[in-house]
Amino acid sequence: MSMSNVAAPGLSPENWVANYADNLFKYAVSRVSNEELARDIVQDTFVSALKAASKFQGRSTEKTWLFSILRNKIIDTYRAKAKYREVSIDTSENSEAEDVFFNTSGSWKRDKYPQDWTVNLDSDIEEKEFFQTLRGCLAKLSEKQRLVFSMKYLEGMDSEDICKEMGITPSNYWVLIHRAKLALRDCLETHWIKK
Amino acid sequence: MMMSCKRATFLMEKSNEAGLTVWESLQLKYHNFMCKPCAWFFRQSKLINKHASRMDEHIDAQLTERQKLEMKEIIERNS
Repeated sequence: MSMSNVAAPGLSPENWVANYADNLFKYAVSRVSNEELARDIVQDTFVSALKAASKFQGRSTEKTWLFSILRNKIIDTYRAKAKYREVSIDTSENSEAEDVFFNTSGSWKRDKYPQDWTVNLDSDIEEKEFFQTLRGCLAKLSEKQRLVFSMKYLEGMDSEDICKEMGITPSNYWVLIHRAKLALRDCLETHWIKK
Repeated sequence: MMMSCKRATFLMEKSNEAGLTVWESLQLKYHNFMCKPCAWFFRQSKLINKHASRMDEHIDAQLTERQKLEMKEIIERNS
């Protein structure tokens, strides 16, 4: 029953909640956008970490190690979503989502011309607004686009692994990530830049 | 002949990882040189890539003290 059961040197589970729970939770919320699920994932991370404590070799810090466990749990949820949604989304992705942005010759439609802006995160308020908008825009993507974008740019996975997790071909992947980027950039321009 | 904007933005995304052929890369550079909206798109796309991994910053959602206490108890039970 006592904490001292965890013998792994370099780990102090009795301080995990105080030291890491908040940051783990924010990380999880930003990835799964559901607080309850995020809480469960963090809790699950602690339990898995305890089970694997004997394997902790101190090659990374305790914090990095906990975050890598959390990250794996988040990727598990992505994978589960990808499986669950496979059939229904495949059909909707078949329509040419790029047609919203380009005319038949592949040029920008007039109302979709990218404007000249950049991101200057000079103040805390600006930064906060920017990330809020970015999260809102990410939430608006189709589920499959969001999953692919999150694996690539939030978790830093490479395309080969993403294709494996999602059960898609490389050409599917490039189409999805291209569409995700088109939609995300457009949404940022509309909601953050031209506000 | 110049590639289309649709093709150019597709190759921009691909250039982040897969690498382009020399010919594709030259065509893309030429396209962005000639086409301002695509050049802007490329710059903004790179900004999105750069900031995306910081998505967990500035999140208002918080764990309550009660929830943290529950987590502590679960850790103790499983230790």
